[in-house]
Parts: sequence; C-alpha cells; structure tokens
Amino acid sequence: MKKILIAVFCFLSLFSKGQVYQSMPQYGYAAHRMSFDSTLQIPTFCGVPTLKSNVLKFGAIAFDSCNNRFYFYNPKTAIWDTIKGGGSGSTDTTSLSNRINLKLNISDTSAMLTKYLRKTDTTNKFVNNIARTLGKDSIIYFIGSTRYAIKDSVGTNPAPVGYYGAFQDTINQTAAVINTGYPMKLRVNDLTNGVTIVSDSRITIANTGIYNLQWSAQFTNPLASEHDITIWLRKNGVDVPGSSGIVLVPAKHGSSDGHTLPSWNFLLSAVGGDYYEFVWSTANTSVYISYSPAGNPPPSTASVILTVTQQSGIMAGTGMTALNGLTGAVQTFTLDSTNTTFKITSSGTEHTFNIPNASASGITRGLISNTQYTTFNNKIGSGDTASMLTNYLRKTDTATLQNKILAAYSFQANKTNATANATANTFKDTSGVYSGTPTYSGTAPSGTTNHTFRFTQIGKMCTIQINLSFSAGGSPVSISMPLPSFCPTPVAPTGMGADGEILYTGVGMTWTTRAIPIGTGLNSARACWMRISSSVYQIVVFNFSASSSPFVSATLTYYTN
Amino acid sequence: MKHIRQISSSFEINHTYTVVITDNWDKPLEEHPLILNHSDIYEIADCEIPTNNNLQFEIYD
Repeated sequence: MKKILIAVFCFLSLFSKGQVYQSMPQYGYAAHRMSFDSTLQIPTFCGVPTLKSNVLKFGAIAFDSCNNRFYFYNPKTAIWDTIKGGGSGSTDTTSLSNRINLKLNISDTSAMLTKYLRKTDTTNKFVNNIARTLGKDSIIYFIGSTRYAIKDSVGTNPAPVGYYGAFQDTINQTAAVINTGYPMKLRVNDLTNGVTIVSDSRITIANTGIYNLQWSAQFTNPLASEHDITIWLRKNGVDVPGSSGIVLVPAKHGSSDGHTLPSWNFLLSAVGGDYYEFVWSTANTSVYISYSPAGNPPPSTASVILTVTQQSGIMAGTGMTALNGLTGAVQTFTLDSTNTTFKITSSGTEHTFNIPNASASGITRGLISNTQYTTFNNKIGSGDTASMLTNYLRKTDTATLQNKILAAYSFQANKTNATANATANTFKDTSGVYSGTPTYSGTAPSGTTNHTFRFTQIGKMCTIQINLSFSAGGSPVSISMPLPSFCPTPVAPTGMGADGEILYTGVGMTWTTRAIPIGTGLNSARACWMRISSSVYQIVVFNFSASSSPFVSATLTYYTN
Repeated sequence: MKHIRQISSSFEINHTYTVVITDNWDKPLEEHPLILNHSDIYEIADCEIPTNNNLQFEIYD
C-alpha cells in the first residue's frame, strides 16, 4: 500500500503544473488580447489619473473613485480626459460643464445668452415669465410676483378686412309683363360680411364706404327671334340715371335656346343702410333669367350671381367700435321732446336726443322757440347791461321793492315822460322820536318827556303828526313845534308865505289826562296851523283852557313841490 | 351863559330843560317879571344851556 501511494504521488508530480507568482514588471504585463469572464479590475485614482509607465504610446483607462468618473488617456494628445460619447451610460451629467452643455445648443453664442432671462431675474427689470393664455388673447407676464397682461390682437379682435358679400340665385326668374322692371332675386347667400340681401333682392350695405358691385345673369331666349333685355341699377328704390344697359339675347337656333350672360360692375359710394337692386326688363316675356342644373361635364348655372366688395372706407374691425354703449355698425340719431329735461338715451342702434320745449308743462329745462326768444328779446333794450337788469322790476319783486328797485323815496309812474307823470313822486312813511325844540307861550310843561312824530308823504302831499308828552303839564298858552328837518319844504299857497303868515291848518289839542280831553264836544279839538317864522316852519297849537297840559298833539297836512 | 329857566328843568335825558327867551329883555335878569312874580317857577341859572332833545323855550308875553 505504501508503495502504491508513493507511485501515485510521483505520477501526479510528473503531470501537474505548479502555480508560480512572480513580481509584476514596473510597466505591467503586456497582452495582445484579453478576455474576462466576470469583472475587469482597472486602476483607481482619487482625482485625475496619472501614468505609471513612461511609455506614452498606449492608451489607458482609469477610474476616479473619489468623483465617480471614468478617465481615458489619449496617447495622441497625452492627456487624461473624462470619457465622452458612447451612450448615456458613459455621459457625465454631474460635472458643471456637462450640465451647462445639456441646457445649451451648440450654436448658442455668448451674445445670445445675455438676452436670455434667468429664473432669478425677478427684480422689477426682467420679465421672468411670458405666456399667452389661449382663449383670453393675452400675454401674461410678471414683474416680481405681480401679474400683468397684454391683450393681443389675435382672436377676439378681427383683423381689418373689407366688407363683402357673394350671392346667387338658383331659380328661373321671369317677367310677367313686357318692358316692366323686375328686381333680380338673389336668394342664396354664399358669403356675407356687412352686406346682406333683404327681401330677396335688396343688396343692403351696412357700413359706409366705397363698394364694387359685380353682377352677371344668364338670360335665355326660347324664341326664334332675338329680343332685347335691359338691366339697370336702382338705389334705395330710385332708378339710377345712366345705369341702364341693353343686351340682345340671341334667338333660338336649332334645338338650342339662345343664351347670353351679360355682366358688368358699378363702383358705388354707399352710406350705411343704403340698398341697391339690379332691375331687368324684357321686350318679350318668353325671355327669362335661367337656372340650369349640373350637366356633364359643367356644373349648374346660377341664374344670377352678384359679388360685393368694399374698396375703401372704414373696414371691418377698424374704427370706432362703440358709441354711448351701443356697438352697432350703423347707428342713428333722433330727436325727441318727451322728457322734462335734456337727455340722451341710446338703445339698439339709435341714440335719441330728448330736448323738450321750455314752454311745456313740468319742464326742468328745454328749448325756447324763436317766437319765445323774440318775445323775451323785445323786453330788453339793446343797450341794457347785466348790472342794469338787476334794477328792473319783476312781477315777484314785492317785498324788496323799495330797496331793490327804486331810488330812495322816488317813483316815476308809467315809466314814461308823459305830462301827467313827468315828475317823480315820493312815497314815504317814517316815525320816531320828535327832537324838535318847542317854544311855549306861558309856562311850559316839564319833567320827563316822550315826544314822537309820524310823517307820511304820498306824492306831494305830506302829513305830519307830532305828539308831546310830559310828566308835568305847566300852563302853556300856545306851543310852537318846528317842522322836523327831514320833512320836505312846504310850498306856500299862492299869495301867502311872508314871515309870520299861516300856510296850512290842521287839528291840534292839549289835554290834562290821557283819557279826558280839555273841554267837551267840539271844544275838545281845535285847529292848529303851520306858519313860517324867521324862515322856520312851525306847527302851532293853542291851549285854550290855559290849564295844565302835559299832552300836546297836532296833525297837519301840507304840500311840497 | 346866564339865563332864566324853569326850576323844573333837568339835564337828564328825556327830561325837559325850559329856557325863557329874553332876547328882547335889556334889563338885568333879576328884574324880569317871571323872577319877580313867579320865583316859585323860574330861576336864574349861570350855566351852559344843554342841547339835548328836550330843550324847549318859553316866550314871555
């Protein structure tokens, strides 16, 4: 057995190959090809790798384990660089340069980049978000956190375009009576924008402008003889002079009817609301405007075709779009007078100016007619000024008549220089304390006084009443009371007026107690008189009883100039 | 100014001051009949004649 085991050992020793580890050369092992069945271990570095070998002709790869990058060594450039290309797995998306590169286009220049907005450009001088909101026709932008919008012209605002219309008719049109005008009918709308057909034939222009009307009609003559037809233009129901055209419709030839398709145009200046008609008449009612159904190969033939195109004027989508809240393309003004004051009302496409007459009942303000103006104007002189008018009398000037209208105490009746009223007259009434200095014959009354007067003037007639009251009667014989200074100067009756003469008489009395006159009956009141003494007008009262007379009264009327 | 007045004369407002007119009397005021015969009513005053509203005059006939 022992011999057997030794023999096996020797046998295995002959054929087995022992594993020998040798030190690796400085530049590593060289191999033409390598094959690995699981992993490949390559050199690792922290940061950019370096070559251990001084042999620069070989490429190399290494791994930056600190920054998680692959590097390769290009022997042609002798530079270590990160691996580029070759699929996403090898693209560096971490390093700054690659991140920037992913956000930029290769054609971007630095000059272009200065125009880009950055997300952080938010402080009042950069717009950091521009977007147009669909359906709202706006560009939205922000300054900081504030939202703004710019409405653009796309969408709701129609682009400026001329008004137009295209119409045709697909029914035969005949004339019932020869040489009678029949408006051509246009009962099919092909295109319409501001131009419509009203009542089958009226080409109605909604917007003022210059329009081109181009028409054509297919006339057919089934007769063996040719006949004339005439076509002309009618505007707002009135035939337009010079617009007629006469066309000969050929006669039937063989089995084929005669046909002609006249066409011409009119360039018209239309005001919004105008309507036009193309009118035709025929010398023979057998001639008609014909519609032909589609044949082979031609399509159908319209009996009448009309196109309307705007040439100038306010195009659709331009110009004023609203007036006093109304947006109608054509709007009108009307006058009314049903309100109590000036007022404008707008409804539909009509603006109504309510201007009532000032003379109507319940009016706050309104117009005056020429007749009313003339009446009013005739009451004022051409030379009257505003300051003068304030002095005119009005019917309502009653409470302030004296202060406002008349010069003090003067009034000239009838406002004329007629003889009867040529001189101003005075109307005055005043009263107060009598401050004259009486003169007594006999013993004067004395003590506390209460002297009063009342003066009234109507025209030239003056009435003065003087009342003297004392606490002690004295025993006067007569009392002379000077006429108050404000009283107008008496005019002396003819033949009188010398110093000391009596001019006027009145009624005067003296008495002792307030309720009891002196004397009885007719003696209770006596005459008083006005005289002039040393150029002083005096009213004199006599105390016939010569008894205590604390009360004196005189009433006298005189005239002045 | 020396003058003859009623004794009841007063300088008060609303009170009479009655002066006798003596323009034509050329004798001493003391000899005036009103002083001689009616000294209970009249007296001689030597003061300014007031000019209030109740100044009044008398004529001696």
